[in-house]
Amino acid sequence: MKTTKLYLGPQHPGITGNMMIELDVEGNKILKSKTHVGYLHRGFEKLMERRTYIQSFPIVCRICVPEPDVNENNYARAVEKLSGLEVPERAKWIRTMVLEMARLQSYLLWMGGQSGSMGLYTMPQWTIGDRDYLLDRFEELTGGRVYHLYVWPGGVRKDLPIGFKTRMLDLMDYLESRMKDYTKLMFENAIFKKRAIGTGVIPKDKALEWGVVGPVLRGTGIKHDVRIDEPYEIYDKLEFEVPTYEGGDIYSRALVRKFEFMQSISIIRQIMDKIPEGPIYNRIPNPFKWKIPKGYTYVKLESSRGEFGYFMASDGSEKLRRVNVRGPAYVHGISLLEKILPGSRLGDVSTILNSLGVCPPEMER
Amino acid sequence: MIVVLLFYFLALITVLGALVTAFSKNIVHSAFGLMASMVGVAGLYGYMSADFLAIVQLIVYVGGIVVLILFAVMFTGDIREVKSSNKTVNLLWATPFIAALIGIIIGAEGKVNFVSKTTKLHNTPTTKMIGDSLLSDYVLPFEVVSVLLLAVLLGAVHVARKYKTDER
Amino acid sequence: MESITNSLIQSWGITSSTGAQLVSLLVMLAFSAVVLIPFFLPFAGITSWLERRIAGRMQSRVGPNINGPQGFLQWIADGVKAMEKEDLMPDDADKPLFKVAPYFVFMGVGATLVAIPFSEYLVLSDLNVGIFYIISVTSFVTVGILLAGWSSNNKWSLIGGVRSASQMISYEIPTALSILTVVLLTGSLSMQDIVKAQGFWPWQWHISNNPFMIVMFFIFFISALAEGSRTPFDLPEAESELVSGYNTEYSGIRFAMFFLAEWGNLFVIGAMTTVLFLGGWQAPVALQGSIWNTPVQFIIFMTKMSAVVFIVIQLRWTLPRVRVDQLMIICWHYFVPLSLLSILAVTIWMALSYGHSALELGMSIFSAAIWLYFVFLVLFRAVRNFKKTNAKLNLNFLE
Repeated sequence: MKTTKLYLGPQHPGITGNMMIELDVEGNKILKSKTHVGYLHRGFEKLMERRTYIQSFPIVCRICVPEPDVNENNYARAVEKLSGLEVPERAKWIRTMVLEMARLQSYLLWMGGQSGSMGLYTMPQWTIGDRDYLLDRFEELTGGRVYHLYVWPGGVRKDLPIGFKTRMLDLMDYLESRMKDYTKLMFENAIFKKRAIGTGVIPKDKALEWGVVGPVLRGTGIKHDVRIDEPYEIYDKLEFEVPTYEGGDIYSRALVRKFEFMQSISIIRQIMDKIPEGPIYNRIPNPFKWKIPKGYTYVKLESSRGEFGYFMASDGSEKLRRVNVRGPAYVHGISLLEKILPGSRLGDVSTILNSLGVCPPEMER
Repeated sequence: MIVVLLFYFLALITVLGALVTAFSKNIVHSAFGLMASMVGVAGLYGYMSADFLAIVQLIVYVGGIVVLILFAVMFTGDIREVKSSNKTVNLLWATPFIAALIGIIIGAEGKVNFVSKTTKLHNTPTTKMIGDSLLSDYVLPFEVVSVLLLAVLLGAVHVARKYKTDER
Repeated sequence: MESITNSLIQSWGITSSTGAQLVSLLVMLAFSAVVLIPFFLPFAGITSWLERRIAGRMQSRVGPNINGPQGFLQWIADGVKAMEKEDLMPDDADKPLFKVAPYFVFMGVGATLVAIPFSEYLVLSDLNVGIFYIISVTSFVTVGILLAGWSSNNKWSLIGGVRSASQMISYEIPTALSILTVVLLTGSLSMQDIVKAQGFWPWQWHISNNPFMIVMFFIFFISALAEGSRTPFDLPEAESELVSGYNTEYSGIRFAMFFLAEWGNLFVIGAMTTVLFLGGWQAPVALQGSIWNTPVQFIIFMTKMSAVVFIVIQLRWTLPRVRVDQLMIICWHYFVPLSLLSILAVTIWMALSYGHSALELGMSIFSAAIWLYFVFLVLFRAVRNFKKTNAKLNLNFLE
């Protein structure tokens, strides 16, 4: 049979952003896939080299649209590590809460995308509607709904508003009860199972070699989570489980994410329960004259899609020397796709893309 | 008068469709013309009050054969290239033969007593009669045809089947 | 219809055969126009409104509610908008075929209405090969979609068109086989005869003739979904895979025609299911035999049909779509053998029960009990879930 070339993207409803996948298909089967990126390159890393440390915050949060807090947190921690700035205890708890809220909203978005890619358009409507409640909490806390600019070197900008705790706990109850509906509609849906089980399989022995991270790696049965392996902020003071499921297919990834969704709810409840009183930030010097000692560092955290790292080098001036962002989508979107797409079917491309959490803006910065 | 006009309309569709099929440079247009021709023939059957036959014509030829032809045509590469798809061959030899054939048909038209001229079957459902005669007078040909179809089906399965030795 | 034509011819005092033929032709055209313009288009439009409202309800949002009461006139606004839009055509498209393809799809769906009996007397033409006719004209939809996909000169369109055609060809077999059982039970291809062979009460319907007819009903219903490209079988238009499938390059009124055909198809699915399996327009015996009972029969027919259409819409918003290979496996590995088996079983049952009316009635009541049990189960669960969901919602954080 003759092979045909199909260009999936740069504009395509099945792609989670702007990127292109060049597919060689034979009938319905994919023989070869090649990823083309570069449609969303905004030169953020270079831009940051021309700005003072504080000025970079509006840029880093735009690296990945669904989870800006991860980037803010990483950047702030890198600056703190280089400059030796201390963070008050209460600020660390609030930062952890913000990270978990970001994880929740990111998973809600993912649930919508995953089932939307299979043609179940009720899920996105529900989950994105429920995500708005989380964004309301973000708005209350930070003033912004999507880009928060909340985390700061040396702490966070604002303290929790009055009554935030009860509203947050109510929201957690609500999300927990909604999870039953999601389970019925999506995770236990017979057609969803039929399409997800055995599709887009990543072999367990190849996963680490290919650089897979996050829920995708835990979906292959390998327990790896930065929150437990190298705890940052206050994760060592919290109780939570990191799930692993065998299989390495879309369904096991979905189950990992579902489990982590519930774990995040429990983490936020613990934080609301145990959060200490105290100051929320340490003053930083005049930002225009703030010089950071020469050196370099690498910080990382566990985002909703996997390990998210920042390498930062400073040359002793007011500005950064170099920053390199290493997100999970870089591996998942470029090399992993080329490895696991061949052999699967045309209809599964966007489903696999969604299950890997490919985010083109983060790939190209 | 109207009925006669209707006949000429249907005949026009049939003939025009056939002409498009024969002379179009684009093979998809040819398939489309074939469909028009088939629909015209179905209309002619209906005109001769052979309702069952008309519907069967639609189902089998439009729903089945034309769709399959379109199917096959779409999978062929560069169909817009006339040279590789819809080439005219042997125009020189075909023309006199076709002319002779048309002459014979026109000449025979007045001499043969066609059944439709007896107008005995007008406005009566034919389904039951066809069914009766298929299962009484023509039961042997009917069964033979079904055996033939079975053989064709088995042959198709045999051709389409992939043997495991071929795959690996 | 013939009686109307004859009375017209008599009352106008036409004697020549040409005049009579002219009158009958005009009457036919007028009836077609009556069916198409004030019935088919509003029906497709209203279904689109209904579908969007139901979808809004199911997805915790509002849906169209601005134009007219409850947004009822939204479909007119949409239609006008579609007509005003520019009729874009790709440069490399095969222009004549590109232009003609939507008409084929539209015609294939619209022509089915001719043979559908809405009541005892309200049927445009009670063809004696009615059900066969409906199957045959639907094949124009396949041709239209194939042509649309090919002439757009776009790979996604082509894949969508070919997918649609292969899906329709495959699912035509289980559909035809399940229709065949109904024809066996009736002994006629005429739609009116099929309805008249049933009765008002559920155990008189064809679905409860024997338990195998329930199987056939499900096969017919699912195959009809697949033939009408409804979710979970909407692969030809799969957005995340094929952009928009065969209608990717269409815009304006041609695009609207594809969509009208799709919603019209919804009506055809509902009507066919009702006529073949659910008793059609059958009213209690007292309300039959007179032309004055037409409204009652029409309402009964429309109620059953709307129920089927509602289920189809509900399925669309609760199920993801299957993959192409799974679609074909469902058809060829399960439906075709199962329907062949069911035909055999139904014929054996017919032969066994021939002449034993008590046996037939008992079996009918038995199988009616089976499917009614499932219907009540679904309704019961729906009501229970509805109550539970309403009670549990805790939205304190919204203040």
